[in-house]
Amino acid sequence: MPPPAPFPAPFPKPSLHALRNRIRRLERQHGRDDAPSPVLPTGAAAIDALLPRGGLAGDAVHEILAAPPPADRPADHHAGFEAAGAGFTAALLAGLAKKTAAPLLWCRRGRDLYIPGLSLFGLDWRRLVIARGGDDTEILWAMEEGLRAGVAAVVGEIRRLPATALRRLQLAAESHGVPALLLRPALAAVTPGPVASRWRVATAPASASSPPWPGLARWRIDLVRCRGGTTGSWLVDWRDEHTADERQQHGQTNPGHADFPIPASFSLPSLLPGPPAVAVGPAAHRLAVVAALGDGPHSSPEAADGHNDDHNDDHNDDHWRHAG
Amino acid sequence: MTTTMTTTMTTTGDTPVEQAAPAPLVTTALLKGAVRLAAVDAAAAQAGLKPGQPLADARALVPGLETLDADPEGDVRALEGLADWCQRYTPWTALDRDDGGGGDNHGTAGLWLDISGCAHLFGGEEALLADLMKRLEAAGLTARAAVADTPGIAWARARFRPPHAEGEQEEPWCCIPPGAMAKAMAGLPMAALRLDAATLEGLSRMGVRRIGELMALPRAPIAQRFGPAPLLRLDQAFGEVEEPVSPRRPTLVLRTRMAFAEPIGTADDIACATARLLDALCRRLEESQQGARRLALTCCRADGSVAEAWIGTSRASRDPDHLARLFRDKLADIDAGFGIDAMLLAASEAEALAPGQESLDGRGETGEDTARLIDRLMGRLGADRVFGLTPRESHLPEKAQGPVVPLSEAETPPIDSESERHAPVMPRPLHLLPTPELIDVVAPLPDHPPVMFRWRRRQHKVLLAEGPERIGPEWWLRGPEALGREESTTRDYYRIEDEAGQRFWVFRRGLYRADVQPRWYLHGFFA
Repeated sequence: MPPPAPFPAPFPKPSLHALRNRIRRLERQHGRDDAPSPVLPTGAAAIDALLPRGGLAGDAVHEILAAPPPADRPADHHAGFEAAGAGFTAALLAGLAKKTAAPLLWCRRGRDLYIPGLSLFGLDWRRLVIARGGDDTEILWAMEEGLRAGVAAVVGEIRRLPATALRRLQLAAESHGVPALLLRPALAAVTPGPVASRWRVATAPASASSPPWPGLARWRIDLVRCRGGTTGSWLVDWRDEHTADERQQHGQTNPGHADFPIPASFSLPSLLPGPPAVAVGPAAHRLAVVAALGDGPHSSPEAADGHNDDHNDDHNDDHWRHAG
Repeated sequence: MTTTMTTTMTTTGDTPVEQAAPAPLVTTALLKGAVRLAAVDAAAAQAGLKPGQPLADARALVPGLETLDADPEGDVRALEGLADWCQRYTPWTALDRDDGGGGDNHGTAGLWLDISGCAHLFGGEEALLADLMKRLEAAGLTARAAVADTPGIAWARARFRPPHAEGEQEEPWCCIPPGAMAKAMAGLPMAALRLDAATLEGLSRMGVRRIGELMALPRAPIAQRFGPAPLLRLDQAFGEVEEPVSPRRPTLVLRTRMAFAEPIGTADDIACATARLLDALCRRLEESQQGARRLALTCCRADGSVAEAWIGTSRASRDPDHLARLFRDKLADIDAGFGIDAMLLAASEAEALAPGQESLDGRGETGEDTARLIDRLMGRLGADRVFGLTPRESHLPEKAQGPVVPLSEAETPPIDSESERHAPVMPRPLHLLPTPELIDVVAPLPDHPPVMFRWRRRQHKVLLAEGPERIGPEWWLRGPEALGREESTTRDYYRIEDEAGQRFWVFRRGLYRADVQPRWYLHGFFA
């Protein structure tokens, strides 16, 4: 049996992990091959180090929630908050797409994805199959079909998630070794069930940063639940230093701070020849942790008491505790 | 030998037989400024009523007359349904659009069926015709039919009787054997030749009332006086000149058919029959090394109507299991009605498909699974809702991408230096609004990014901004006169970030003009 993926330091017992891997493989009804299912690393070493397999498990369901909007904003109005989750997902998929040739299925209901924006996260649009469903039932059905057809990954934007549907997704993901990512609105009711990890991703202000214009993306990422791992909160940047530098060299941008605006009329950016800023997966892009937030990463209860099974997992999720 | 059959229905064909007997029934329509009879049933015809008569006259003749409004479109629809149903006998069916020259619409109430090569499946022409007539009668339709070597004779004999049969018990159908063509036609009135009214009247004035009399006359004077039509019709009737008639639907070679002794109705039975039809069709596809792209399933109900289901595949397939799965969702929509007594499956689109090599572990080629996934998704969600995206060569943001058939290499340009050259220099949003939304903005004049904006009743304070990126209109696509309009003005895009860290893509339309308040729009969201 080939050794499993290299283990990050926080994971305590490699042998136990290897055994679990083997059991999981034995349990699969449709053994696809002997290789362990792929892992989706976030690309940020500090975050990956906390995940049991050095990334999001490639044969499980992961939930990515938009962060709740600020208290003074109505709940139906958080477009930018949802875009952050989609960006995080695109970054995860981009890493996975480099390892496999299979297509990616993105089941959605809302706004269209925009290729020039997607490719900023290194995602190859040629591999993307978009299925637009009319309601959650159709999207869940499409996701399950995708998982069973063995695509590289399945993304679904789900509002209401019944427990049985989640269980079905998890079984399909596990038996076919395909990751399923659920993109959910901020105030979605958390469904108790076998979710391998639950994230909250929100846009974060870059105001404190220099230079004084918006970066490519800055997110606050909370890992609120992780089976067999720990939780944590980080402030991360999607960095593109290379391109930013070049843009500055070419005088492409005319940074105008709202507080002390620079007259912009002397710059005609679209007329100037420039270097290609958007290509598929340029090496310059990566997720970088700017700061660990709160009291920093801390061990979850079941990680401390020896990796117990599912029913303990949900206790480190605030919402589940409230719901229960 | 071409065998053609024409079925004529009375225009009030929907009337059940038992109701046709008591009161004479006519349909009426407004014609030439008066309400006139459009069609009459047998009882009304016996009472001396004719199509085209004013209704007032008809009422005077037959006091207890029942009338209905004529519905020509409904008649045609019903006839088309019947034509589809008749595909249980032959794939080649057509509506008879020849109006018989009389100007009335009795000609539309007919069907052509080309039963060449099909009759033996039913035990011969007579048996086929008997079966057809029995089913039509059971469905409450009054019909007359004739089988003959040419369309002309079939048309004539389905509508007219030779005089010697007058008074005898009338058979509603007849088969004209090849040798009896002249005999069958000779006694028929001239109207059976499908000539226009003027020609008919002229011939009648000459004393030519039966086709046999026309056949006896020298040809040249006829042609001189009446033009080529009468002789052409005569020649067509006797097969000396080919008479083409187009089928209603393209004739499909890849077609399988199944008839049931008893009508079936349950979903399981229909699914089972579909699976067997698919098996048979896929065997034929394999023999011809083809794969189906589009399949049509036609279910003939016992009452003469049809139900149809269509499926499409994203790439040619002849795998019965896969196709059956695609049909599964569609079969739920099929209403069996009083029962289905025949089913047809036809590949309306097929293309060459080389035999596939199965890999050693028994699984098909890679890509096969994906193609099937896309078929299933398209089957349930709709073909236009499963797509891939591809960049388009336009610097206008809303035109910079378009939907394509998912994973099609043909439509997706490779990433090369050329496409990179067209890539935008500034970052683009992850979500783009299909139409930009108007926002209320506080922005210093003339060319500054906003410091505050309001979108959907929510105020955002702008802390950071980058821009402008100026995007001009596609003036080369529209005429110079379009340049003044608002949708074809220059836009200045800004990337802005509010106090919560949300990043928006907003733009201002047009260039600064002191007298015009600029309009700002929200166009996208950055991650």
